[in-house]
Amino acid sequence: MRARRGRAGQRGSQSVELVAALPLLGLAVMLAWQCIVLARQQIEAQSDARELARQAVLCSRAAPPPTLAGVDPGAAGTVSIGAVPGPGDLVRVEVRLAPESVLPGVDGGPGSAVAPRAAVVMRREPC
Amino acid sequence: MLTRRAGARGAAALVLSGAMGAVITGGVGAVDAAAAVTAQAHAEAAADAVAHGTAVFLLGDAHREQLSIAVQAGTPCDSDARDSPAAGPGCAGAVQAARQLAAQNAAVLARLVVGPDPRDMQEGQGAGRMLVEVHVFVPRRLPVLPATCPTSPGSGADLCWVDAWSAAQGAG
Repeated sequence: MRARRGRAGQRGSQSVELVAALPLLGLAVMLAWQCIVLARQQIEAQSDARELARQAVLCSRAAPPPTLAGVDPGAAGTVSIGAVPGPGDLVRVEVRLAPESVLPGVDGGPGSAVAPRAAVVMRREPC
Repeated sequence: MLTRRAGARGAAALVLSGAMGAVITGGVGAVDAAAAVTAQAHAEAAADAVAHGTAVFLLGDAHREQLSIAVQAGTPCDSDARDSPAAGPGCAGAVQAARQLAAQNAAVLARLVVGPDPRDMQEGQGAGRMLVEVHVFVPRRLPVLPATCPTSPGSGADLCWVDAWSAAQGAG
């Protein structure tokens, strides 16, 4: 009788351990997924920054001022285009995208610490 | 009876430890793969920016014609070559401009080669357009022991840096 009760208790404790470990496992999987999503967005930010910089260094008579919507219609974020102080006519383009979140309840804009961002510096072409 | 119960507990602990180990290894692997892919994209963008910027710099450089004739005559303008100064001040200026632009793009210039544009390699042709080739390195952030990475590329584990190559021809 005591042995049977002990065996049942053991099975019960194993079930409790499994139930306690499952959310942790789920959270670890979600975190890995979030990391992959952010990496994909980082590559998108790099690509957008390169394209915007390439357009920004063209003669303004050759092309209209570039916009994020123009190079990546689906992207949400901010772009800053400015001259780099120092020798040479350099233009710096920085793109910050709003991070996509797969974790429920976690959300952030382009200003958040984990926002994918990329900067490209190019030399302005002769006009 | 006691032995069976202890064995079952040991097996459960072993399975749990194995599962946690797999999750941690997988997580670190995912972070590392993400870092590698994003660093490669960064390196490619930096290489393009440096190649383009150096070609544009040469378009407006006062020593452009002298450099063009020198490289057409076979004098190397290569940041790795010892006799690059023979190509004139235009070559030194191009290397400096490329280094500056690489630094602005958070990269390190590994090599710059300025050569003649094949379109202008004709009999009787004077100074012409030039071809710029660049090779840059970008640091890759390791998720484990990043402090072990060398401060400059080519002096330690290749895992710590990613490289990219790009080229640009003078327009015209």
